[in-house]
Amino acid sequence: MGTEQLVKKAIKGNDDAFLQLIQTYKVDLYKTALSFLRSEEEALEAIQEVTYRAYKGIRKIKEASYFKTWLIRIMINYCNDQLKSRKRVILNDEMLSSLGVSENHTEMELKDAMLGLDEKSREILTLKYFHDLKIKDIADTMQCPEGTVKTWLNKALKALREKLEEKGGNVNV
Amino acid sequence: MFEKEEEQLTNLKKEFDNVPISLDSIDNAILTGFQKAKADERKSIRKKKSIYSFLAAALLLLGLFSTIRISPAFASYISEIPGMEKIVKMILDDKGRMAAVENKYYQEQGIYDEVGDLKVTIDGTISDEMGIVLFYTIESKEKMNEMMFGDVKIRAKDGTVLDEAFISYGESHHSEKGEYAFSGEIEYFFEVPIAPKEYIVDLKLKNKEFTIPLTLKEFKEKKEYAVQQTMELEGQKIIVEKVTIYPLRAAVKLKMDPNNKKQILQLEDLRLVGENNEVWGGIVNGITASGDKDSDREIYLQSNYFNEPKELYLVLNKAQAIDKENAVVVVDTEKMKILKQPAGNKLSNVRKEDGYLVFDLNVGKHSKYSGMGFGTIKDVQGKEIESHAQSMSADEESNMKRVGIELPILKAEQNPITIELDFYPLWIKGNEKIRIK
Repeated sequence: MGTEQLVKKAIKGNDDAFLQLIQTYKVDLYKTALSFLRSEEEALEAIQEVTYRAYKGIRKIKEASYFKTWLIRIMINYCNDQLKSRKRVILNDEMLSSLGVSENHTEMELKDAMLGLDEKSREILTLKYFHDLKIKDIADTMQCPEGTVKTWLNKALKALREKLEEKGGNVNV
Repeated sequence: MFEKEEEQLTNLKKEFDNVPISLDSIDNAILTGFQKAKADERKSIRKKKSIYSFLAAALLLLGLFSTIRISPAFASYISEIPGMEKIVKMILDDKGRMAAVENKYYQEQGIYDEVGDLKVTIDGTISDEMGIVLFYTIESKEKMNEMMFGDVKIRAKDGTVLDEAFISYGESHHSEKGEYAFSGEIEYFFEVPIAPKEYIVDLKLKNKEFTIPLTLKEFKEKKEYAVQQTMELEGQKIIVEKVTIYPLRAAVKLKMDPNNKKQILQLEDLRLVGENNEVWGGIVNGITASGDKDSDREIYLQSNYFNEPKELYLVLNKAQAIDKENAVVVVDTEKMKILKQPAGNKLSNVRKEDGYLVFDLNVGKHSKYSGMGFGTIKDVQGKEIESHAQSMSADEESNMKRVGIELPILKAEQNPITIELDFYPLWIKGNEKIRIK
């Protein structure tokens, strides 16, 4: 069964369809959470909360074809809220190793720079580069013209560049 | 322009592709989140039950049968399907459902369950995304004098939770001489759209349980009209937001202006009118309205789904209304005295009868008046008193109706009690006509 049909069923209250959809995107969701929150435990908590929010909100979906963007955005919003509630993002070796990745400086800088961005920029960069979503899809879910999304995207990239330059290799870890 | 940044971002994504993932932990997290949402849903269903709804009782008027014209084609269709005649008799007072049958939207079921010497058959259904009307027959080898369902529940075979909004199955079948079969209808409406698929109906009858599976075929799609226009009767404003035409009924979404001086109660006069003055009025037998009295409300009308006129209007000439300042009945149940009531003093002779608090209601010349519905009851401390039943006599001739509400035994210090009203035979008038299509 196609995703759109599943979404339609889920909107009508079919729990199986809903769970199937979450299954389809669980890895995307998890990675998004991990990229924002950088802890497995918190990412799993995020999955739980996003499943909850998605279930409660699914009836508000107007266009079945943008389900994925809609779902990822719930995750991004949740992560942004979590980040806001933290005073400072503290990175340590334990966290990094828990991700199972050894990071080089550039990647670490990039992640720090991302976390230093405003919410909208972070959201748009995540949607575009992390989930390879099309500008049109993003525009439709955000209910704004494609041109606006492009402007935001440019602003976000510019802000990112500034952040990276600001750091200039001077990484405080 | 930002090639370097874009490349870095793409690399970052690739990096996450290699992150080890515990799918089991993710699945557990999904399940926990899902169960939390389900628990909330069940809680909200319980809460929703306190929302008021209006029920209209069928008045069996002899003249009714002669006023319905049936085309020869329809008549022959009726005769083709066994048992169709009795079903048509049940929906004669609803043009929308008659048209649904005429347009072959009625779905034959013919599935039964037998327990002991009782047999319950679901003869057929008419359904749309918001509701199911079931037509049933109860049969017995012995003559039955009275029969009434104790409980009716519909559930989805695949376990999907249904947000049921209103259920009406309360018809009590009665026969002095005894009958071998009774037929009736059950209405089941939902808060959230349902899907056409397999359902299971659980019915309780005489402490016996019957289980009958149903398969609902594809529903016809609703037709929605955004309206956003205001109707005004004697300065009281009613905002019509939307009209949605479903096969089973038309739903008119209204909002009461918070600045209204009067509280608007029943809108039994609201109707849809086509360009040739064909009228689709309120639901005569079943659920007539739901929502919140002072703000958002939905009024249900007979559906014009299958007879689509070129032009469609919403028309209103009167509405029951009482002053907001004086919108409740206050009764001292110790002294059996009405201390306060809306203008007109239409309620009188308060008394207790078989666990009911009963009033006489003077409806004046409106002898066909059949409004019924007391709202919340509160004691003197403002604590809600639970009541589960209401009654109304339907003596056609008299201008005095008997209206009652079930009341538990109260302590003297709970007096006086305050009862909200969902009806009152006082009307505001006007001449409103809004074009919908």
